[in-house]
Amino acid sequence: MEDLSWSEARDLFRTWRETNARKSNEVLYHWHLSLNINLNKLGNEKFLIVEQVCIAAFDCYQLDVANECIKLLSSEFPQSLRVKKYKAMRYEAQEDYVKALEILDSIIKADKSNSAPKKRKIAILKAQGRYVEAIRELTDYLKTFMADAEAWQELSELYIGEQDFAKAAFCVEELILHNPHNHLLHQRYADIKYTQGGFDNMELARSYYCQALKLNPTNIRALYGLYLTCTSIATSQKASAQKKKDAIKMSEWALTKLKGSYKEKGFETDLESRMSAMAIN
Amino acid sequence: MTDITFSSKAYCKIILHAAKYPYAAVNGVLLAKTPVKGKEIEFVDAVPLFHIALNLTPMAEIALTQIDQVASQAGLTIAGYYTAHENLWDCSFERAQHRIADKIAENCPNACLVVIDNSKLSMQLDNLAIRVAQFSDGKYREVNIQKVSLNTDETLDICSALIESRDFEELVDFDNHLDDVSKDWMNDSLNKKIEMFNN
Repeated sequence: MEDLSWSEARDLFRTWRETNARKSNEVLYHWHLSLNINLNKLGNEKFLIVEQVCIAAFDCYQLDVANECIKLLSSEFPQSLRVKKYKAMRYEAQEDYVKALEILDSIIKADKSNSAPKKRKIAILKAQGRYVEAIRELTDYLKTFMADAEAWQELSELYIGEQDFAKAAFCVEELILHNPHNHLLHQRYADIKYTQGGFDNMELARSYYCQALKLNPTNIRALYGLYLTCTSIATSQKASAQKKKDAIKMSEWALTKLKGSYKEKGFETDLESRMSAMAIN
Repeated sequence: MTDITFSSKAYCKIILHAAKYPYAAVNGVLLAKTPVKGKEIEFVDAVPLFHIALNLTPMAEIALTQIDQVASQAGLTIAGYYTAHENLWDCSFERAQHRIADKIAENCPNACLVVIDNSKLSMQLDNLAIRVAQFSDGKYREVNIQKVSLNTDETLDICSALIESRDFEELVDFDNHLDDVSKDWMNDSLNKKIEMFNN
Protein backbone atom coordinates (compact mmCIF):
# COMPACT_ATOMS: atom_id res chain seq x y z
CA MET A 1 0.00 0.00 0.00
CA GLU A 2 1.23 3.40 -0.98
CA ASP A 3 1.87 6.08 1.61
CA LEU A 4 -0.26 9.09 0.77
CA SER A 5 -0.54 12.58 2.18
CA TRP A 6 -3.63 13.33 4.22
CA SER A 7 -5.22 15.29 1.37
CA GLU A 8 -4.53 12.52 -1.16
CA ALA A 9 -6.03 10.00 1.26
CA ARG A 10 -9.07 12.20 1.74
CA ASP A 11 -9.62 12.30 -2.04
CA LEU A 12 -9.16 8.56 -2.33
CA PHE A 13 -11.71 8.01 0.45
CA ARG A 14 -14.18 10.18 -1.44
CA THR A 15 -13.78 8.06 -4.58
CA TRP A 16 -14.30 4.91 -2.51
CA ARG A 17 -17.48 6.35 -0.96
CA GLU A 18 -18.82 7.29 -4.36
CA THR A 19 -18.09 3.92 -5.94
CA ASN A 20 -19.08 1.94 -2.85
CA ALA A 21 -15.70 0.19 -2.87
CA ARG A 22 -14.92 -2.23 -0.04
CA LYS A 23 -11.32 -1.34 0.81
CA SER A 24 -11.44 -1.78 4.54
CA ASN A 25 -7.78 -2.62 5.08
CA GLU A 26 -6.64 0.34 3.01
CA VAL A 27 -9.07 2.70 4.77
CA LEU A 28 -7.66 1.75 8.17
CA TYR A 29 -4.09 2.00 6.91
CA HIS A 30 -4.56 5.58 5.77
CA TRP A 31 -6.58 6.43 8.86
CA HIS A 32 -3.69 5.41 11.10
CA LEU A 33 -1.09 6.94 8.78
CA SER A 34 -2.42 10.42 8.15
CA LEU A 35 -6.12 11.07 8.54
CA ASN A 36 -6.51 10.43 12.25
CA ILE A 37 -4.07 13.19 13.15
CA ASN A 38 -5.34 15.60 10.49
CA LEU A 39 -9.00 15.15 11.36
CA ASN A 40 -9.73 18.82 11.81
CA LYS A 41 -8.44 19.72 8.35
CA LEU A 42 -11.10 17.58 6.68
CA GLY A 43 -13.87 20.20 6.73
CA ASN A 44 -17.25 19.00 5.49
CA GLU A 45 -16.00 15.51 4.92
CA LYS A 46 -14.82 14.96 8.47
CA PHE A 47 -17.76 12.95 9.74
CA LEU A 48 -18.35 11.16 6.44
CA ILE A 49 -14.80 9.91 6.76
CA VAL A 50 -15.28 8.97 10.40
CA GLU A 51 -18.33 6.90 9.37
CA GLN A 52 -16.31 5.28 6.59
CA VAL A 53 -13.50 4.41 9.00
CA CYS A 54 -16.00 3.06 11.52
CA ILE A 55 -17.42 0.60 9.00
CA ALA A 56 -13.92 -0.37 7.84
CA ALA A 57 -13.00 -0.98 11.48
CA PHE A 58 -15.98 -3.32 11.93
CA ASP A 59 -14.94 -5.12 8.73
CA CYS A 60 -11.41 -5.67 9.99
CA TYR A 61 -12.47 -6.21 13.58
CA GLN A 62 -10.48 -3.30 14.96
CA LEU A 63 -13.03 -2.49 17.64
CA ASP A 64 -10.87 0.09 19.41
CA VAL A 65 -10.87 2.19 16.22
CA ALA A 66 -14.62 1.65 15.84
CA ASN A 67 -15.20 2.81 19.41
CA GLU A 68 -13.11 5.93 18.77
CA CYS A 69 -15.27 6.72 15.73
CA ILE A 70 -18.55 6.14 17.53
CA LYS A 71 -17.38 8.44 20.32
CA LEU A 72 -16.56 11.19 17.79
CA LEU A 73 -19.90 10.76 16.05
CA SER A 74 -21.88 10.62 19.30
CA SER A 75 -20.39 13.80 20.68
CA GLU A 76 -21.10 15.69 17.46
CA PHE A 77 -24.58 14.22 16.87
CA PRO A 78 -25.90 13.28 20.31
CA GLN A 79 -29.47 12.12 19.59
CA SER A 80 -28.81 10.77 16.14
CA LEU A 81 -30.48 7.56 14.98
CA ARG A 82 -27.82 7.28 12.29
CA VAL A 83 -25.15 7.08 14.98
CA LYS A 84 -27.28 4.65 16.98
CA LYS A 85 -27.11 2.32 13.98
CA TYR A 86 -23.33 2.12 14.41
CA LYS A 87 -23.81 1.05 18.00
CA ALA A 88 -25.98 -1.78 16.69
CA MET A 89 -23.31 -2.64 14.13
CA ARG A 90 -20.74 -2.87 16.90
CA TYR A 91 -22.78 -5.73 18.40
CA GLU A 92 -23.14 -7.23 14.91
CA ALA A 93 -19.36 -7.25 14.54
CA GLN A 94 -19.14 -9.22 17.77
CA GLU A 95 -21.88 -11.57 16.52
CA ASP A 96 -24.11 -10.51 19.43
CA TYR A 97 -27.18 -10.39 17.24
CA VAL A 98 -29.68 -10.27 20.11
CA LYS A 99 -28.32 -6.93 21.37
CA ALA A 100 -27.90 -5.62 17.81
CA LEU A 101 -31.52 -6.42 16.96
CA GLU A 102 -32.73 -4.74 20.17
CA ILE A 103 -31.10 -1.47 19.11
CA LEU A 104 -32.23 -1.77 15.48
CA ASP A 105 -35.83 -2.45 16.55
CA SER A 106 -35.74 0.62 18.76
CA ILE A 107 -34.58 2.78 15.85
CA ILE A 108 -37.37 1.40 13.67
CA LYS A 109 -39.90 2.09 16.42
CA ALA A 110 -38.68 5.69 16.64
CA ASP A 111 -38.83 6.17 12.88
CA LYS A 112 -40.72 3.71 10.72
CA SER A 113 -39.60 5.36 7.49
CA ASN A 114 -35.92 4.81 8.27
CA SER A 115 -34.60 2.29 5.77
CA ALA A 116 -31.11 1.77 7.20
CA PRO A 117 -31.95 -0.31 10.31
CA LYS A 118 -34.29 -2.48 8.25
CA LYS A 119 -31.42 -3.30 5.91
CA ARG A 120 -29.14 -4.05 8.85
CA LYS A 121 -31.65 -6.62 10.10
CA ILE A 122 -31.56 -8.29 6.69
CA ALA A 123 -27.75 -8.19 6.81
CA ILE A 124 -27.91 -10.00 10.16
CA LEU A 125 -30.04 -12.75 8.64
CA LYS A 126 -27.46 -13.06 5.90
CA ALA A 127 -24.62 -13.23 8.42
CA GLN A 128 -26.42 -16.06 10.16
CA GLY A 129 -26.69 -17.96 6.88
CA ARG A 130 -30.49 -17.59 6.92
CA TYR A 131 -30.63 -16.76 3.22
CA VAL A 132 -34.23 -17.77 2.56
CA GLU A 133 -35.47 -15.54 5.38
CA ALA A 134 -33.19 -12.73 4.23
CA ILE A 135 -34.75 -12.97 0.78
CA ARG A 136 -38.24 -12.89 2.27
CA GLU A 137 -37.51 -9.83 4.41
CA LEU A 138 -35.73 -8.03 1.56
CA THR A 139 -38.64 -8.68 -0.82
CA ASP A 140 -40.95 -7.23 1.81
CA TYR A 141 -38.67 -4.21 2.29
CA LEU A 142 -38.72 -3.52 -1.45
CA LYS A 143 -42.53 -3.36 -1.47
CA THR A 144 -42.13 -0.12 0.51
CA PHE A 145 -38.75 1.14 -0.62
CA MET A 146 -39.00 0.18 -4.28
CA ALA A 147 -36.53 2.77 -5.53
CA ASP A 148 -33.66 1.41 -3.45
CA ALA A 149 -31.25 0.21 -6.15
CA GLU A 150 -28.77 -1.14 -3.60
CA ALA A 151 -31.50 -3.39 -2.24
CA TRP A 152 -32.47 -4.69 -5.68
CA GLN A 153 -28.78 -5.42 -6.33
CA GLU A 154 -28.46 -7.33 -3.05
CA LEU A 155 -31.66 -9.27 -3.74
CA SER A 156 -30.48 -10.26 -7.22
CA GLU A 157 -27.25 -11.59 -5.73
CA LEU A 158 -29.10 -13.50 -3.02
CA TYR A 159 -31.29 -15.13 -5.68
CA ILE A 160 -28.21 -16.02 -7.75
CA GLY A 161 -26.75 -17.61 -4.62
CA GLU A 162 -29.89 -19.68 -4.23
CA GLN A 163 -29.88 -20.49 -7.97
CA ASP A 164 -33.31 -18.91 -8.46
CA PHE A 165 -32.31 -17.34 -11.76
CA ALA A 166 -35.79 -16.28 -12.87
CA LYS A 167 -36.23 -14.09 -9.79
CA ALA A 168 -32.65 -12.83 -10.06
CA ALA A 169 -33.39 -11.75 -13.63
CA PHE A 170 -36.48 -9.88 -12.43
CA CYS A 171 -34.37 -7.90 -9.95
CA VAL A 172 -31.85 -7.00 -12.63
CA GLU A 173 -34.73 -5.84 -14.84
CA GLU A 174 -35.70 -3.40 -12.06
CA LEU A 175 -32.11 -2.18 -11.90
CA ILE A 176 -31.98 -1.69 -15.67
CA LEU A 177 -35.16 0.41 -15.45
CA HIS A 178 -33.41 2.61 -12.88
CA ASN A 179 -30.11 2.69 -14.78
CA PRO A 180 -30.63 1.97 -18.47
CA HIS A 181 -27.16 3.17 -19.42
CA ASN A 182 -25.22 0.87 -17.13
CA HIS A 183 -23.49 -1.69 -19.37
CA LEU A 184 -22.76 -3.95 -16.41
CA LEU A 185 -26.45 -4.48 -15.76
CA HIS A 186 -27.20 -5.50 -19.35
CA GLN A 187 -24.25 -7.86 -19.25
CA ARG A 188 -25.35 -9.32 -15.88
CA TYR A 189 -28.88 -9.83 -17.23
CA ALA A 190 -27.45 -11.64 -20.24
CA ASP A 191 -25.28 -13.80 -17.93
CA ILE A 192 -28.39 -14.86 -16.00
CA LYS A 193 -30.38 -15.62 -19.15
CA TYR A 194 -27.46 -17.66 -20.51
CA THR A 195 -27.34 -19.59 -17.26
CA GLN A 196 -31.06 -20.37 -17.52
CA GLY A 197 -30.41 -21.85 -20.97
CA GLY A 198 -32.69 -22.78 -23.82
CA PHE A 199 -32.91 -21.28 -27.29
CA ASP A 200 -35.13 -18.30 -26.42
CA ASN A 201 -32.93 -17.35 -23.48
CA MET A 202 -29.85 -17.63 -25.73
CA GLU A 203 -31.34 -15.14 -28.18
CA LEU A 204 -32.36 -12.85 -25.34
CA ALA A 205 -28.91 -13.11 -23.78
CA ARG A 206 -27.32 -12.29 -27.09
CA SER A 207 -29.34 -9.12 -27.52
CA TYR A 208 -28.44 -7.96 -24.00
CA TYR A 209 -24.73 -8.68 -24.60
CA CYS A 210 -25.06 -6.57 -27.76
CA GLN A 211 -26.65 -3.76 -25.78
CA ALA A 212 -23.87 -3.95 -23.19
CA LEU A 213 -21.30 -3.66 -25.98
CA LYS A 214 -23.14 -0.72 -27.50
CA LEU A 215 -22.85 1.04 -24.15
CA ASN A 216 -19.26 -0.10 -23.56
CA PRO A 217 -17.39 -1.72 -26.46
CA THR A 218 -14.58 -2.80 -24.14
CA ASN A 219 -16.67 -5.03 -21.86
CA ILE A 220 -14.72 -8.28 -22.21
CA ARG A 221 -17.41 -10.38 -20.49
CA ALA A 222 -19.97 -9.10 -23.00
CA LEU A 223 -17.66 -9.96 -25.90
CA TYR A 224 -17.13 -13.48 -24.62
CA GLY A 225 -20.85 -13.74 -23.91
CA LEU A 226 -21.66 -12.66 -27.44
CA TYR A 227 -19.26 -15.30 -28.76
CA LEU A 228 -20.84 -17.99 -26.59
CA THR A 229 -24.44 -17.12 -27.42
CA CYS A 230 -23.72 -16.94 -31.15
CA THR A 231 -21.93 -20.28 -31.05
CA SER A 232 -24.88 -21.79 -29.23
CA ILE A 233 -27.41 -20.34 -31.68
CA ALA A 234 -25.36 -21.42 -34.70
CA THR A 235 -25.35 -25.02 -33.52
CA SER A 236 -28.96 -25.10 -32.32
CA GLN A 237 -31.60 -27.20 -34.03
CA LYS A 238 -34.15 -24.46 -33.50
CA ALA A 239 -32.28 -21.92 -35.60
CA SER A 240 -33.17 -21.32 -39.24
CA ALA A 241 -30.39 -21.37 -41.83
CA GLN A 242 -30.40 -17.58 -41.95
CA LYS A 243 -30.15 -17.25 -38.19
CA LYS A 244 -27.24 -19.68 -38.21
CA LYS A 245 -25.45 -17.68 -40.86
CA ASP A 246 -25.92 -14.44 -38.95
CA ALA A 247 -24.80 -16.05 -35.72
CA ILE A 248 -21.60 -17.36 -37.27
CA LYS A 249 -20.77 -13.94 -38.65
CA MET A 250 -21.40 -12.29 -35.28
CA SER A 251 -19.31 -14.84 -33.43
CA GLU A 252 -16.42 -14.21 -35.81
CA TRP A 253 -16.80 -10.49 -35.19
CA ALA A 254 -16.74 -11.06 -31.44
CA LEU A 255 -13.62 -13.22 -31.66
CA THR A 256 -11.86 -10.57 -33.75
CA LYS A 257 -12.76 -7.88 -31.21
CA LEU A 258 -11.50 -10.09 -28.40
CA LYS A 259 -8.20 -10.73 -30.14
CA GLY A 260 -7.87 -7.00 -30.67
CA SER A 261 -8.48 -6.29 -26.99
CA TYR A 262 -5.94 -8.90 -25.89
CA LYS A 263 -3.36 -7.57 -28.33
CA GLU A 264 -3.93 -4.01 -27.12
CA LYS A 265 -3.16 -5.01 -23.57
CA GLY A 266 -0.05 -6.85 -24.66
CA PHE A 267 -1.17 -10.14 -23.19
CA GLU A 268 0.73 -12.75 -25.17
CA THR A 269 -1.79 -15.46 -25.75
CA ASP A 270 -2.91 -17.64 -28.54
CA LEU A 271 -6.59 -16.88 -27.99
CA GLU A 272 -7.55 -18.79 -31.12
CA SER A 273 -6.16 -22.07 -29.92
CA ARG A 274 -7.41 -21.50 -26.37
CA MET A 275 -10.89 -21.14 -27.71
CA SER A 276 -10.52 -23.88 -30.31
CA ALA A 277 -12.53 -26.36 -28.30
CA MET A 278 -15.56 -24.14 -28.69
CA ALA A 279 -15.08 -23.24 -32.33
CA ILE A 280 -17.88 -23.93 -34.74
CA ASN A 281 -16.93 -26.39 -37.44
CA MET B 1 -0.96 -43.74 3.25
CA THR B 2 -2.41 -40.58 1.86
CA ASP B 3 -4.65 -40.54 -1.14
CA ILE B 4 -4.88 -36.83 -1.85
CA THR B 5 -1.83 -34.56 -1.90
CA PHE B 6 -1.47 -30.85 -2.53
CA SER B 7 1.73 -29.18 -3.73
CA SER B 8 2.73 -25.88 -2.10
CA LYS B 9 1.71 -24.04 -5.26
CA ALA B 10 -1.79 -25.53 -5.26
CA TYR B 11 -2.48 -25.17 -1.54
CA CYS B 12 -1.04 -21.66 -1.19
CA LYS B 13 -3.01 -20.31 -4.13
CA ILE B 14 -6.26 -21.74 -2.76
CA ILE B 15 -5.67 -20.05 0.60
CA LEU B 16 -4.41 -16.80 -0.93
CA HIS B 17 -7.51 -16.57 -3.11
CA ALA B 18 -9.74 -16.85 -0.04
CA ALA B 19 -7.54 -14.34 1.79
CA LYS B 20 -7.78 -11.83 -1.03
CA TYR B 21 -11.59 -11.78 -0.85
CA PRO B 22 -12.48 -12.38 2.78
CA TYR B 23 -15.99 -11.02 2.30
CA ALA B 24 -16.90 -13.04 -0.79
CA ALA B 25 -17.32 -16.60 -1.93
CA VAL B 26 -14.50 -17.71 -4.21
CA ASN B 27 -13.89 -20.73 -6.37
CA GLY B 28 -11.29 -22.24 -8.66
CA VAL B 29 -10.04 -25.46 -10.19
CA LEU B 30 -7.25 -27.83 -9.30
CA LEU B 31 -4.80 -29.39 -11.75
CA ALA B 32 -3.08 -32.76 -11.57
CA LYS B 33 -0.57 -34.47 -13.86
CA THR B 34 -2.05 -36.43 -16.72
CA PRO B 35 -3.03 -39.25 -16.58
CA VAL B 36 -5.09 -39.25 -13.40
CA LYS B 37 -5.46 -42.92 -12.49
CA GLY B 38 -7.18 -44.31 -9.48
CA LYS B 39 -8.09 -42.61 -6.25
CA GLU B 40 -4.65 -41.24 -5.49
CA ILE B 41 -4.31 -37.72 -6.81
CA GLU B 42 -1.60 -35.13 -6.41
CA PHE B 43 -2.77 -31.60 -7.13
CA VAL B 44 0.18 -29.66 -8.52
CA ASP B 45 -1.48 -26.36 -9.28
CA ALA B 46 -4.62 -24.32 -8.69
CA VAL B 47 -6.29 -21.78 -10.98
CA PRO B 48 -8.44 -19.24 -9.13
CA LEU B 49 -11.65 -18.52 -11.01
CA PHE B 50 -14.21 -16.15 -9.55
CA HIS B 51 -15.22 -14.03 -6.61
CA ILE B 52 -18.37 -12.56 -8.20
CA ALA B 53 -21.69 -14.34 -8.90
CA LEU B 54 -20.27 -17.85 -8.72
CA ASN B 55 -23.42 -19.54 -9.96
CA LEU B 56 -23.53 -17.86 -13.36
CA THR B 57 -22.23 -20.09 -16.15
CA PRO B 58 -21.06 -18.18 -19.23
CA MET B 59 -17.71 -16.99 -17.88
CA ALA B 60 -17.20 -20.36 -16.20
CA GLU B 61 -17.47 -22.03 -19.61
CA ILE B 62 -14.97 -19.62 -21.11
CA ALA B 63 -12.57 -20.15 -18.22
CA LEU B 64 -12.78 -23.94 -18.29
CA THR B 65 -12.22 -24.05 -22.04
CA GLN B 66 -9.10 -21.94 -21.79
CA ILE B 67 -7.74 -23.64 -18.69
CA ASP B 68 -8.30 -27.06 -20.22
CA GLN B 69 -6.39 -26.04 -23.32
CA VAL B 70 -3.45 -24.54 -21.42
CA ALA B 71 -3.38 -27.37 -18.89
CA SER B 72 -3.31 -30.17 -21.47
CA GLN B 73 -0.46 -28.44 -23.29
CA ALA B 74 1.43 -28.58 -19.98
CA GLY B 75 0.58 -32.23 -19.42
CA LEU B 76 -2.02 -31.47 -16.74
CA THR B 77 -5.72 -32.31 -16.25
CA ILE B 78 -8.45 -30.39 -14.43
CA ALA B 79 -9.07 -32.87 -11.64
CA GLY B 80 -10.58 -30.83 -8.83
CA TYR B 81 -12.68 -27.84 -7.80
CA TYR B 82 -12.26 -25.69 -4.70
CA THR B 83 -14.53 -23.15 -3.11
CA ALA B 84 -14.78 -20.98 -0.03
CA HIS B 85 -18.22 -19.92 1.14
CA GLU B 86 -19.16 -16.30 1.82
CA ASN B 87 -20.16 -17.08 5.38
CA LEU B 88 -17.33 -17.51 7.87
CA TRP B 89 -18.88 -20.48 9.61
CA ASP B 90 -20.11 -22.33 6.53
CA CYS B 91 -17.91 -25.13 5.25
CA SER B 92 -20.65 -27.40 3.97
CA PHE B 93 -20.34 -29.56 0.90
CA GLU B 94 -24.04 -29.15 0.08
CA ARG B 95 -23.75 -25.48 -0.70
CA ALA B 96 -20.49 -26.14 -2.57
CA GLN B 97 -22.08 -28.35 -5.23
CA HIS B 98 -21.50 -26.61 -8.52
CA ARG B 99 -21.96 -27.35 -12.21
CA ILE B 100 -18.22 -26.95 -12.62
CA ALA B 101 -17.55 -29.74 -10.13
CA ASP B 102 -20.07 -31.97 -11.94
CA LYS B 103 -18.45 -31.18 -15.29
CA ILE B 104 -15.00 -32.00 -13.93
CA ALA B 105 -16.25 -35.33 -12.59
CA GLU B 106 -17.56 -36.20 -16.06
CA ASN B 107 -14.06 -35.96 -17.46
CA CYS B 108 -12.15 -37.17 -14.45
CA PRO B 109 -13.88 -39.98 -12.57
CA ASN B 110 -12.08 -39.55 -9.25
CA ALA B 111 -12.20 -35.76 -9.17
CA CYS B 112 -12.12 -33.92 -5.85
CA LEU B 113 -14.23 -31.16 -4.35
CA VAL B 114 -12.42 -29.00 -1.81
CA VAL B 115 -14.15 -26.65 0.62
CA ILE B 116 -12.08 -24.20 2.62
CA ASP B 117 -12.78 -24.20 6.33
CA ASN B 118 -12.82 -20.43 6.78
CA SER B 119 -12.68 -20.67 10.55
CA LYS B 120 -9.24 -22.30 10.36
CA LEU B 121 -7.69 -19.40 8.45
CA SER B 122 -5.47 -17.03 10.40
CA MET B 123 -2.14 -15.24 10.20
CA GLN B 124 -0.39 -18.31 11.56
CA LEU B 125 -1.61 -21.39 9.77
CA ASP B 126 -0.93 -24.53 11.70
CA ASN B 127 -3.25 -27.09 10.25
CA LEU B 128 -5.07 -27.97 7.05
CA ALA B 129 -7.84 -25.45 6.46
CA ILE B 130 -9.73 -27.60 3.98
CA ARG B 131 -12.26 -30.40 3.74
CA VAL B 132 -11.96 -32.73 0.77
CA ALA B 133 -14.56 -34.88 -0.97
CA GLN B 134 -13.90 -37.32 -3.80
CA PHE B 135 -16.27 -38.36 -6.55
CA SER B 136 -17.31 -42.00 -6.50
CA ASP B 137 -20.48 -43.86 -7.39
CA GLY B 138 -22.24 -40.82 -8.77
CA LYS B 139 -21.57 -38.31 -6.01
CA TYR B 140 -18.90 -36.50 -4.03
CA ARG B 141 -18.18 -38.20 -0.71
CA GLU B 142 -16.05 -36.74 2.07
CA VAL B 143 -12.53 -38.10 2.39
CA ASN B 144 -11.03 -38.67 5.83
CA ILE B 145 -8.71 -35.74 6.49
CA GLN B 146 -6.01 -38.19 7.59
CA LYS B 147 -5.75 -39.18 3.95
CA VAL B 148 -5.04 -35.62 2.81
CA SER B 149 -1.59 -34.13 3.02
CA LEU B 150 0.58 -31.29 1.83
CA ASN B 151 3.58 -32.01 -0.33
CA THR B 152 6.22 -30.40 1.77
CA ASP B 153 6.31 -29.86 5.52
CA GLU B 154 7.03 -26.20 4.93
CA THR B 155 3.86 -25.51 2.93
CA LEU B 156 1.90 -24.12 5.87
CA ASP B 157 4.80 -21.85 6.86
CA ILE B 158 5.19 -20.68 3.27
CA CYS B 159 1.49 -19.93 3.15
CA SER B 160 1.62 -17.96 6.42
CA ALA B 161 4.57 -15.95 5.15
CA LEU B 162 2.74 -15.09 1.93
CA ILE B 163 -0.33 -13.96 3.85
CA GLU B 164 1.74 -11.82 6.18
CA SER B 165 3.48 -10.08 3.28
CA ARG B 166 0.05 -9.59 1.68
CA ASP B 167 1.12 -11.39 -1.49
CA PHE B 168 -2.50 -12.36 -2.03
CA GLU B 169 -2.97 -8.86 -3.44
CA GLU B 170 -0.90 -10.04 -6.40
CA LEU B 171 -3.02 -13.11 -7.04
CA VAL B 172 -4.99 -12.97 -10.28
CA ASP B 173 -8.25 -14.85 -10.66
CA PHE B 174 -10.31 -15.15 -13.82
CA ASP B 175 -12.57 -12.29 -12.74
CA ASN B 176 -9.48 -10.05 -12.43
CA HIS B 177 -8.41 -11.20 -15.89
CA LEU B 178 -11.82 -10.36 -17.37
CA ASP B 179 -11.57 -6.87 -15.85
CA ASP B 180 -8.08 -6.43 -17.32
CA VAL B 181 -6.89 -8.96 -19.88
CA SER B 182 -3.25 -8.10 -19.35
CA LYS B 183 -3.44 -9.93 -15.99
CA ASP B 184 -2.20 -13.52 -16.09
CA TRP B 185 -4.53 -16.05 -14.47
CA MET B 186 -1.79 -18.68 -14.46
CA ASN B 187 -0.06 -16.44 -11.89
CA ASP B 188 3.47 -17.05 -13.21
CA SER B 189 5.10 -14.44 -10.99
CA LEU B 190 3.33 -15.64 -7.85
CA ASN B 191 4.25 -19.22 -8.76
CA LYS B 192 7.92 -18.20 -8.91
CA LYS B 193 7.67 -16.63 -5.45
CA ILE B 194 6.26 -19.84 -4.03
CA GLU B 195 8.90 -21.95 -5.76
CA MET B 196 11.63 -19.75 -4.31
CA PHE B 197 10.51 -20.71 -0.81
CA ASN B 198 10.71 -24.35 -1.75
CA ASN B 199 14.33 -24.15 -2.88
